[in-house]
Order: sequence, then structure tokens, then C-alpha cells
Amino acid sequence: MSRTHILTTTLKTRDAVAATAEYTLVHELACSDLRRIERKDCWQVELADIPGETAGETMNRLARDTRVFVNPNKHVYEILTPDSLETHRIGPGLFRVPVIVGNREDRKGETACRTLAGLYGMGRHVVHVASGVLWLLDLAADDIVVARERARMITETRSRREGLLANPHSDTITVF
Amino acid sequence: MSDGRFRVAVLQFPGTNCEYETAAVIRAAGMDPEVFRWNRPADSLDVFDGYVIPGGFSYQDRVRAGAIAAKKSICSALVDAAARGKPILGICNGAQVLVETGLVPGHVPEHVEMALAENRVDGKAGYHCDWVYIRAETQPQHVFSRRFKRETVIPIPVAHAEGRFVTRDDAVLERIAAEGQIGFTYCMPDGRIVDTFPVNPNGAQLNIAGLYNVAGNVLALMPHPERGAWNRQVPRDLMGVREQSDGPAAGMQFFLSMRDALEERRREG
Repeated sequence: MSRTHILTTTLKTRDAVAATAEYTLVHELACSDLRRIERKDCWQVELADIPGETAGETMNRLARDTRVFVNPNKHVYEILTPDSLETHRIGPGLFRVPVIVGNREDRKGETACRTLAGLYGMGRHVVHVASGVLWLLDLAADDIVVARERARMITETRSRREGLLANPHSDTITVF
Repeated sequence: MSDGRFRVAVLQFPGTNCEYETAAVIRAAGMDPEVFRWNRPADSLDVFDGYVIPGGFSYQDRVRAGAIAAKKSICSALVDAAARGKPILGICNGAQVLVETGLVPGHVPEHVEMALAENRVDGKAGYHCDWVYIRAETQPQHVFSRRFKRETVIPIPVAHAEGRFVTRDDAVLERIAAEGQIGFTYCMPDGRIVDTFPVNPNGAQLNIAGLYNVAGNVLALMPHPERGAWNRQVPRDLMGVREQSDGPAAGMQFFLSMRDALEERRREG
């Protein structure tokens, strides 16, 4: 029995990538409904059950005791379950939409998985690791369906004037 | 033109880092380069005869390589210039900008039909820097290939982490082949196409190293011709270099081809 958990890391300093993405979307692509962007590096870790240890404890151990995901000098981390990622209302006519952009050929996740198995002896426990970026998009919208649709439009680069955060020829997009 | 020499804009975004050596090669090829900052009025690009987007890390590769630069108004001016048949060369990060701008392959105007994805080679990941061989797949419309006979093999350096031409749309690949848009392919020293590392240094589909638009006036090229423009820059043991000298090497031919094309445009009015 295995289950996927999500480890996110955020820079302790201001995230210049998120700031640039927000500026570009609002000022170059006229996304006037976009209010704010937050960005986190995101690791989706599939864990096998470990006797005597909860999945949360294992994830914390991966975050604290390995140097694969978190550099404590510059990151803060958070552990989530996939169920906790969903579009939700954060104010009148305002929704926060989580979007994960992954890589179609995820070498970074493979390397992390291999390192955990080889260097830290966790091959039996860590089944799979997928790397990606978690974008949190705060969007003005009439309802949750519209907000999610707009998040997809903003994320998927279809043309020079439409979308920014993922190139669908190399990236995967999951809107929650 | 200034004093009869063709004016070439070398576009400089924040993070571009090959603009001055690229300008030096353009000057050596008999043209008049000008480093053009991204925040100048885009319409002032119109006076130039041709354009080069050099290598580097525009906008620090934020979001992904080339993505932010492609959204700038200066790239709208490039789209207009391309439609008017002016030559545009994107080198490495410049190639990433051209793909994200939709100028290459350019089947549907401004649509992003490909990616220059992270290198994907078995047993190796990340940034790769080396000399490789590429083969000219010259077609009559290929503006930057005029000095290369078809199937000429060229030693040239690559230096990138995201250089893999890839599309998820098979129809795009079929059309690229049908229209003769592949300008250069990674190959063995004898010209044979082998799709494994290190011959293909990044796992590009169809071994694509350089890809033209349909009209052949825009080239997205991952290797760096400006770093192999003089014989003294080319390692002695690579094919075609019998002795080190100050003479022009294969990389210079891209820029001489550009000048040839501009002269032809001028003759044709």
C-alpha cells in the first residue's frame, strides 16, 4: 500500500521568479483578473507504509535529515496531502487556484528518488518522486469553475500572447 | 545600411551574455552590428536590416528559458520583421526565445508549437558544454546556410541545459520535414546521423540542432557559431582544422551567409 504526499519548499527571500511571472502576466499579457502569484518548488513523493512510523513523520524525516529537497539556509518547507490542494474561495469574488507544472520527462524527480534509495537507503519506502512547481494563482472570478478555467489559460502557453507558466510540449499541467 | 554596410541589431535582454562576441563576428563578416537594449522603443528596430538574438540567460531563465523575453514588445517587432523577410538568427538562448515567440517553426503565426526542453540523455542530466558536429541540411530558402553545401559537416560548440527540440504534435514534425525546415542536425564526424549521446547532446527529436521557419529567413540554432568563427577557436583535433590560424572557421559562414542574403535582398529591391 502506498500513498502520495507533497513536500513544498519556499525561498526565505522574495521569489523573483514569481514576481517576474506576475508582472509579465499582468502587464504584458493583460491578465487583469490575476491578483497575486505564489510559487513553491514541489515534490510529490509516493511512500510505501513504514511500520511504526506515520507518513507525516517519514516526510518530515526526508525534509530534515536528507539534503535532497530542503536547504535549511534558504528554504522553508511544508508537507501537504493531495487532498489539501483544491481551488477555494479566499474573498468575495476571489479564488486561490493551485496548479502544479511538472516535466514530461522528469529527470529531477528520478534523480531524487535514486539518491534517496542509494545514499539514504530508502529504496523500499520511497516508491516514486515527481518534481514540479506549485503555482498558487489568486484570481478574480464569478465562480470556482471560471477561476479554474482561467488558471489553465494563464498556465498553458498556447501562443506568444496566451499563457506563460508551462510549455505543453515539455510540461504537464494539473489544475486542482 | 550605414556607409553601405548592413545594419544588424544584436538584441540584449537582461541576462544576455554573448552580445559582444556575437557583434564582433558580425563586424568581421562585413556588417555593422549594434547592441540593442530590450527597453528601447520597439519601433526603432525597424531601421535594421537583420537581427541576431545572442546566447545567455535572458531574465535569468525565470519560468523557463526564453519564456519571459518572448512576451516583450521588442519581440512583436521581430514578428513583423520576420513577416517582411528580414533575416533573424537566434543562438542558444536566442533560439529558445524564437521558439517561445512562435517564429519557429512558425506554422501557425505566433503559436508555440515546440519546446526547447531540458536535455534528456541516458545517464546524464543538466548543463552540457562541448564541441559537437552538425550537418548542414541546406535548402535554397535557408538564409544562414548559403555558404554551406548540403551535408557539409561542421565542428561547433554547444553549451546549454535546455536545448532539446521537442513537440508533442506529430503533425508539426511531419510538416517540419516536408517543408525542409531542418537547417542543421547533430551528426558523427563523417556526417552519419546517430541519435544517441554524445553525438546528439540533448536528445533532440530528429537530431535537430537548428530549425528554420517555413520561409527560411528565421533560424533557431542551439550551437554557438560565434564561438567557432575563427580557426584559432577550434580545437586542433577536430575535423577540418589542419592548422591553427586567424582565418575564418565554419562559424563565420553563418554570418557571411546572412550578408549574402542581405545583398540579394538589396539587389532585388
